Amino acid sequence: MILSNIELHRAIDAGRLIIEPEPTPRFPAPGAHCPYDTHTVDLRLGDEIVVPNPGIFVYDHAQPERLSDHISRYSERFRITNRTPFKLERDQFVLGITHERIHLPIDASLSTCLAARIEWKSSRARCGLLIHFTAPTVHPGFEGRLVLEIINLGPSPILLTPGMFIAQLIVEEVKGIPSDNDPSEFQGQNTPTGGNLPIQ
Amino acid sequence: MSTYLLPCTVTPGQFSDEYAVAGQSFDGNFFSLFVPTSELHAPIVPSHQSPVEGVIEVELLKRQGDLGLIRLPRPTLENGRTVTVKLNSLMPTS
Repeated sequence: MILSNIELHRAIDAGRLIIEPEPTPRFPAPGAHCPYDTHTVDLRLGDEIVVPNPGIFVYDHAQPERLSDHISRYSERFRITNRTPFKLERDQFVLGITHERIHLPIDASLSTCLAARIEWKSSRARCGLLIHFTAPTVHPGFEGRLVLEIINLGPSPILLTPGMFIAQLIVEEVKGIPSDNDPSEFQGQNTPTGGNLPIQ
Repeated sequence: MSTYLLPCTVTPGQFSDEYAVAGQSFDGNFFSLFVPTSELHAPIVPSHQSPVEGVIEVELLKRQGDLGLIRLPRPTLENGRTVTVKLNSLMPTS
């Protein structure tokens, strides 16, 4: 069940959904952008953009290696400001990060918890800006800022400015409490580098 | 379920508030993940030229002989959030 704006407020008040800093105002007010729509809350772009550089390597996700180091080593980080926004060229792919930190705590004493999905905003999509084209799920228990996979498929460059409303969060109720610490949860990932213990 | 420290190699992450972390599973293969700087114990700030040895807090979910199934603080880039390591690679938290 997707939470309405009112239920989003209740979840925040109850500590089941933590968004820091909390988006305000909760209701439309003169001269202020209300980040809440009927069942979404807008998130803003943070002040860092990461640009992957072309490398001489080929990613092989089937080959275990220090992938996180490779990805970081061959990318460049930019800090953006309102005076120095990032100019996203046509067909360019970069990573951004939300200004807000999201936390979906799991309270085992309850019979439900929350999960979320991050979606792009239709106003940005009309310009050809995709801000999160894969892996939109925010799992129960997650805590942190959300990394955005941004690509410009439009006909013109687009300026990325810190604080711009760039994405929207849709929060859903999960029926039951996930077996977060139960190894059986990870069945199907029975490989040498992940999942359950090897079968003997 | 118990908490342990797992040695890892730490290099800078893509964003300023994260590290790129690599560890080894029981069979010698590497796994890697991005971990918030606040969740990792590294003696000094690493660079790509000078990785540092650090430790991450992990949860031991299951033992089997000399192997342990652990849960990492974040998902790996390679495959899921759990990996199998040798039990003797785990260190007590205190």
